[in-house]
Amino acid sequence: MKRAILLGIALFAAIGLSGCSYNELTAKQQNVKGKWSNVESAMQRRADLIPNLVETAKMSGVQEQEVFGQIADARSRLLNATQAPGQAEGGDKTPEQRQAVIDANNSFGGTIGRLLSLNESYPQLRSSEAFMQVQNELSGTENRINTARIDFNDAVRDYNTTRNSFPAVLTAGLLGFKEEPYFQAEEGAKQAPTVGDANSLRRPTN
Amino acid sequence: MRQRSRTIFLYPLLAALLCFAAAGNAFGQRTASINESPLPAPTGHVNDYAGVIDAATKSNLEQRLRNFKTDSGVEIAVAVVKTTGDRDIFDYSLAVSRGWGIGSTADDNPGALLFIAIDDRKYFTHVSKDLEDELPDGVVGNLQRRFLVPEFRKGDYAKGINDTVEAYIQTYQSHHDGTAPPAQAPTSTRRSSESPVSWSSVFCCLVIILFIVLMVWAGNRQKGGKSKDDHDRWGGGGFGGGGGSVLPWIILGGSGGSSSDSSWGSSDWGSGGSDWGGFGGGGDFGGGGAGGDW
Repeated sequence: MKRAILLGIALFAAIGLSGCSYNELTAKQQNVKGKWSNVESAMQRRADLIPNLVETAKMSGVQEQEVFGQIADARSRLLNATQAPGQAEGGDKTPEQRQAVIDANNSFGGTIGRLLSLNESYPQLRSSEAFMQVQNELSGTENRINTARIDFNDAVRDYNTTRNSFPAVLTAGLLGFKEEPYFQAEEGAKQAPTVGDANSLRRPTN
Repeated sequence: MRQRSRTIFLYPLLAALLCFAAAGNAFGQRTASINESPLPAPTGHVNDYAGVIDAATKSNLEQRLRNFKTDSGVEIAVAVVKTTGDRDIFDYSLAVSRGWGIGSTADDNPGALLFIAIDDRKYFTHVSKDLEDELPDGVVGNLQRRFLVPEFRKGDYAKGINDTVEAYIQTYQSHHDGTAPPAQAPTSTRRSSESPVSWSSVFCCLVIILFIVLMVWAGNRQKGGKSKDDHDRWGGGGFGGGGGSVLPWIILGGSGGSSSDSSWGSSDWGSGGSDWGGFGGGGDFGGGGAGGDW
């Protein structure tokens, strides 16, 4: 009889311990994955747009070979990172791979901001509607990346908090729930040449 | 001996209790976010907090936008404020568009917000994810430069706003005229419904079984100290009754991947004036759109 009681208690505890933390972690991890896919599609969009903007700028007589070169390098790093096949289950990216994408993204440094403020140093661009439109598209993409980044970080914070709280912290490691990296923005922006204020990445252009 | 057998009961119980308590706590708690509107609930499609739109234009535009919504399902909102304070106009207006829940909650929920900060001399139009095909950022920027900026420079805010909104509507309609029903490509992938029943759930079960075996083993070691008293106090079978449901519970648990998206757009208006029913509650804005200054 005693054994039955113990069994009952053990089962009850098992429901409590594994049940709520496992389900909750899974739900939150799914949310993180969903938000991450928005981040990647915004980055992909950026990579697609950059050549357009650079071409349009070149056609309008902009001579910024150094910036264009840096952008081309950063763009190919970004494409390599986003297109790497996912190594987690179901083709998803592992937290380490996400970190690689984030690093590649940050390797653009201030170059995007430089592109977006070209019309300040080259007034002739203001009269080029083609350039202005591509510039709108690119700054819209920067805004999307930022929005997706904030949404992703919210989801990660929610997940990590649960993962590192009692009781999930007892089982999360065993069950393969890793801590997710936050998307820290633009470390490299500090060394890059900048025109205009530090917030020029975010500024709507006209 | 008896003391020790008590503690064996107590630890799992305590753990389970704490676990349930923690689960209740884990939701909520957001920092001042881009999901909550800094403005009060809207009173219609056109919300002028700066008093720059004359009554006639406002009611015409309101009617136009209501009809457009009925015809096309697209919700376009206008908000005019004096200033966004310290906050960037992009963040501020994104919070408004999400907080107001512009666009329906359906899968396809086009919506847009034309936001103007008069004293800051800045404007921004947010376009929801399902309207980006019809109104890409470049086009939005172009229309604003053509219709909004010149009038605003002259100080005719009402006309600038009216013409810009009209231009959005025309652009939307010309996009759909003559073409087959728009291919509504799912632009957002936020509803991923794959259920991760996998090796990790199996592993989870194994851990539980191991736990049970350990408990029983611990129970056996205590056999010597067994007393009738214990038996009565803990009501044999009371807990065991729940045991039958453990496995299905855990297997079902794997698919609990609902996202927290529904946390925005809780619409608590509707009691307000006239026949204004509020926006749809979608607020599916991802940062698309364009803006500038004048």
